[in-house]
Amino acid sequence: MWCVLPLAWAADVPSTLYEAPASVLSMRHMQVFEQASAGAISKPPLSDESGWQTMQLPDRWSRSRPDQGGSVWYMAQVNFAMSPQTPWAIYLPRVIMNAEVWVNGILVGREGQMDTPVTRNWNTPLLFTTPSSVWRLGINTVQIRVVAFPDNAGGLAPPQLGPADVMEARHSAQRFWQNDLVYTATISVIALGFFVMALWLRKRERIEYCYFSLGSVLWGVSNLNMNVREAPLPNAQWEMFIHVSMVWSWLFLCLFTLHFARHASRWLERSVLLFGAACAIFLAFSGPNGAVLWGPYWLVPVLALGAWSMWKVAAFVRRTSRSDYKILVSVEALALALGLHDWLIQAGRMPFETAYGTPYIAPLLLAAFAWLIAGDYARAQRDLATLNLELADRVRSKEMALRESFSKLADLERAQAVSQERHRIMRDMHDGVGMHLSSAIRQLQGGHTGTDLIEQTLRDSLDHLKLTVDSMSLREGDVTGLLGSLRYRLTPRLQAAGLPLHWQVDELPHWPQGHIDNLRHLQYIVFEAMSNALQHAQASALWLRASTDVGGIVVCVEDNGRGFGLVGKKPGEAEGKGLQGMRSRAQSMGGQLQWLPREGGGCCVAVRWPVAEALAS
Amino acid sequence: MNLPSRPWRVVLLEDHADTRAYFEASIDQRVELQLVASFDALTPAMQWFDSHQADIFLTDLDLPDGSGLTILRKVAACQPHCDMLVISMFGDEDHVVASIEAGAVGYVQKDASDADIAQVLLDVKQGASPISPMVARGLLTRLKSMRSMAGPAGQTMLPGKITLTAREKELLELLARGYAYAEIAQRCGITHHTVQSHIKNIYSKLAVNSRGEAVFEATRWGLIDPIGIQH
Repeated sequence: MWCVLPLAWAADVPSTLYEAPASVLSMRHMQVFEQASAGAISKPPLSDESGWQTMQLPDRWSRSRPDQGGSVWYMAQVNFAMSPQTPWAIYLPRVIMNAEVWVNGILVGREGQMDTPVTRNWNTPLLFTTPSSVWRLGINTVQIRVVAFPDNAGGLAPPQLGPADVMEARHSAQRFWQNDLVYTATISVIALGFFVMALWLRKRERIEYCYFSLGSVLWGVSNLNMNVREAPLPNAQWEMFIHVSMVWSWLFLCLFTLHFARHASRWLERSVLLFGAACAIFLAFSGPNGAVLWGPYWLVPVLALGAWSMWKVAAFVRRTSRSDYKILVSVEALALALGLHDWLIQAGRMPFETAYGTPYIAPLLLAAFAWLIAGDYARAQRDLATLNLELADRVRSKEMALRESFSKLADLERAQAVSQERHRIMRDMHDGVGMHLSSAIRQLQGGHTGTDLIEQTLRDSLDHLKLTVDSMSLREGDVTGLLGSLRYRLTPRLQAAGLPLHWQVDELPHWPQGHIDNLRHLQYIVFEAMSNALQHAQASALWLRASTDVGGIVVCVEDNGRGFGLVGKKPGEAEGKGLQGMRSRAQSMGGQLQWLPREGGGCCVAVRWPVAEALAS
Repeated sequence: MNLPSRPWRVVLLEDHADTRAYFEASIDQRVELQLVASFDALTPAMQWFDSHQADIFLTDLDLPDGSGLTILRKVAACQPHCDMLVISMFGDEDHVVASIEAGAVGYVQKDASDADIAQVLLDVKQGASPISPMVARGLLTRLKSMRSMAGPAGQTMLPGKITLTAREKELLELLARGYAYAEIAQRCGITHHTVQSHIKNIYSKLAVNSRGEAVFEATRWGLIDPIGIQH
């Protein structure tokens, strides 16, 4: 219950004499005494001293005494009909910068430094609790001394007087809202700034994150002004620093918003940054009180830019379906409105006691941005999962295509191998079995050939067939195996002819180029050489020698017969088709065929070809 | 050659009538041989062996009602004294090695002369085992592949592996290079008969190992109960 009963001393001058209240007394009128010098004093000016003037509070020095800093005394009288039994307190909701309180000429409280640098209590409500003994029955004089920086305007909101417990409750509530909550919000917005900075460092292409982080950090820095009571810089520099931080924080947040709305351009960014630099330079050289005087004017275009950014981002968000975008933009819009509100305070267009609003928006901004980042992360995870699935599908389909392609290729290779093998067998059949069978038919049709000769022709045919079958199971490069099988096939014929075969075959090296075609060439050459020796040489013995030679392998078929008459002649000269075929096959396998005289009579047919492994060994 | 107290009982299984007749005639040429049964299909031959004994069994591999390998395995199991040979057109490695693994001691070529056919049968009863260089090389390759499957500490992954003596291995290598028994005997300073014994030993090792592999595989796949196997 308010029990303010001002007593009028004159009809046109409001009284500064109050009756002691039952609850709380708000002193809306006080007498004022200006004192040019700040600093510590030993006692207040006398109440009857000339110079006291009555005025209504709040007293905003920028209006009542522009360009004056220093010290001002405020005085009022309170009439106690009964002596107070409990402590009383004087509560100052807002004082710029600092104050001390005297009651009946006794100093009852002082908050920090009263001379330069004055303690910055401009946003801190002050409470001075007085013992009951200070108050006396009847008229009591309350004097409040307010000091400000010499070049700064101070001010005082109506002081309140009441029982200490009531005043403490009010003071605590105000401290919580104006100081504790703002401090928490300031820390959180700076932390948010550093967190987003870390995000930007990991993802440099998102420049809007950089702008947001700088804007957040500088916003927090400018909010420090609300709670810092002992500034680390001289007052003028501190004010300049705080104002420039505020301007830059808003500029960065505007750039973030424009990027977010996909509406940023290089020239716009440069213009904005240029404006911020110009503001900093101007305030730095605008004199001791320049930041306080001119700072609000620099904020006007910043607020205009903010409004335009909000317009653009609102249009952008309308086109999207993301709720987290809408939440963030709503919080930014609220921040802009509070920014306008704070600007009006700075411009003196709001009540003196009005608290600044922008610091309180920080937690909301933090939550909205965290929600957006979490949404982005969740979307990225979902997109990644989808991408992985798609990638796996694509890899699977590619694998299938590749497997199919390999399968086709393998089929083609198999078909080609089968075709080559078929071609080779057909050629063998034609040159070997077919030729001998057709000879046998002709012999039978002629009716003049003996059965022995026909049987021989048919056995030749069967031998060729067996050699063809053997060639299918020959291992590539296995010359020894080839010669062994050849001997096995020819042994019955040699035994039938009574021709001993002397076998001198060494263990031969692997022939890397000895694929089936080359083995078949070698088989044909040796077979023909032995057949010729059997049929034409009239030999009594036959030798087969196989060994490694310089540069490769040499296989010789020797007989002690009359020879072919080819020794010493040039290749092709006086050769029949069979011999030409042998030479041609020797060349096909990369070797040479020679007819050499045998010591003691007879002939030696030698085929010699290079083997890489033999050379190496 | 001393005549046996009774002629060797020969059983013939060949689906081609002309070839069968040719082989029957070849056997009939020698008094040491007696053709006791001749079949053109697998089933009656299998049934015959249930109640009869033979000294020599001569069979084709490709039969109208199954593979000759089946009856080779059966006779090897129930009449181990019976020497078995397969009739082969080409004496090719795949068929012959499979036959040896089934228990055969050699093969006879279809185009061999009638005298040669009968002589091969008698030689077999004297301890010979016909082998070609291709088959010898095939056996060597098979031995190498078995060694490569053995564990690092000499443990074999198969239930048994063929362990040849140095002499047996030398003989196989010479055979693979085309050397005849007589030439090998001369080079190694042993008798012709010893060479034949070595070859027969190699054959029997291969056949025993083959049976071991079959048991191992069958046990692994759960086809037979290892406890029930009688060694």
